Amino acid sequence: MNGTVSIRGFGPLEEVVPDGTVTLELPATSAAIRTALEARWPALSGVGYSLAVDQTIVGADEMVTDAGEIALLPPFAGG
Amino acid sequence: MDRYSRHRSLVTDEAWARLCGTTCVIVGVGGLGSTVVSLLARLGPVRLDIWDPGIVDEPDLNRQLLYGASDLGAQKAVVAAVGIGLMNPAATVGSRCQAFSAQAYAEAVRDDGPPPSTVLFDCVDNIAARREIEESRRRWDVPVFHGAVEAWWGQVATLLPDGGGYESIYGADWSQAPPEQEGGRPIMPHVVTTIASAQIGEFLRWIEKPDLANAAHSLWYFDGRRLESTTVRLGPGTGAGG
Repeated sequence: MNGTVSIRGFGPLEEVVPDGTVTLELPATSAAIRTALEARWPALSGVGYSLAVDQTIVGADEMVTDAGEIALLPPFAGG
Repeated sequence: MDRYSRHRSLVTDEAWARLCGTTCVIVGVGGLGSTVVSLLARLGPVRLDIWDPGIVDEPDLNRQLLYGASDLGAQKAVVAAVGIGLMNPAATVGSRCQAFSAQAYAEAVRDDGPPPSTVLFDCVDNIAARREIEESRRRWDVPVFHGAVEAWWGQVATLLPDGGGYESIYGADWSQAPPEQEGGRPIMPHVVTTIASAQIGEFLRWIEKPDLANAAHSLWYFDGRRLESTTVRLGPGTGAGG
């Protein structure tokens, strides 16, 4: 079923994915969610980021049955 | 008055003993490492083992608090050790002017392995070095206090021996790790000191409770432009990438 999910890009991704909502079909795998997000925001393609569903980072192909909020978190590497 | 009197009462006797008995391996004394070793040296008569192959360059001076203009061209590990000795002569400091690698660390600790109660501080600025830290973490079952920064943002995580490793941050096979940047990444100074301080905060939580489940398996993100932070849980063995 389609659901409205809050979405947030963190750090440099806040300019790519502005705070707001997105409609997703759930349940879906995290890979399918990535595909849907990258279709909506093509600038996400090729950018490394983790997907956090309701404050928990999900695995590469994990099934997501429900989501209130999805955050996109790009890992940093500088020191 | 004891030099530690302003914070000694804030930790238990057991935690204080653990602080004094822990060997802290600091991998990298650039931005994060400068602040990390400074705070550790002020906490108590700590044992520090510093690794860094680099020399002090002018662009380092915007955030690397151990160094000044007179240190330009000097070995960071040497200057850091001298500075720590001045901060706290009771601290025990070893310095190695070489890049950290799993093999070099294994050779350094020889057959006996790391001293009991050893921890690693990840203060490096590249993924290749983190791969070496991860290999050592897995080999020797040592906790790692991870920090990383870029531009206005940074992250902190504690990787305990029985929890997930870097794959939970950078994705399976490091697939989500950012590419290296020639000439260094842009970094805002206050973000560096904030993240390094948070690494020390995590270390102190571990000192109080080594099996602290709350600190492990989570990643703390800091936004130094919005002055916001968020914490997300890391599933054990999570491969964040896709």
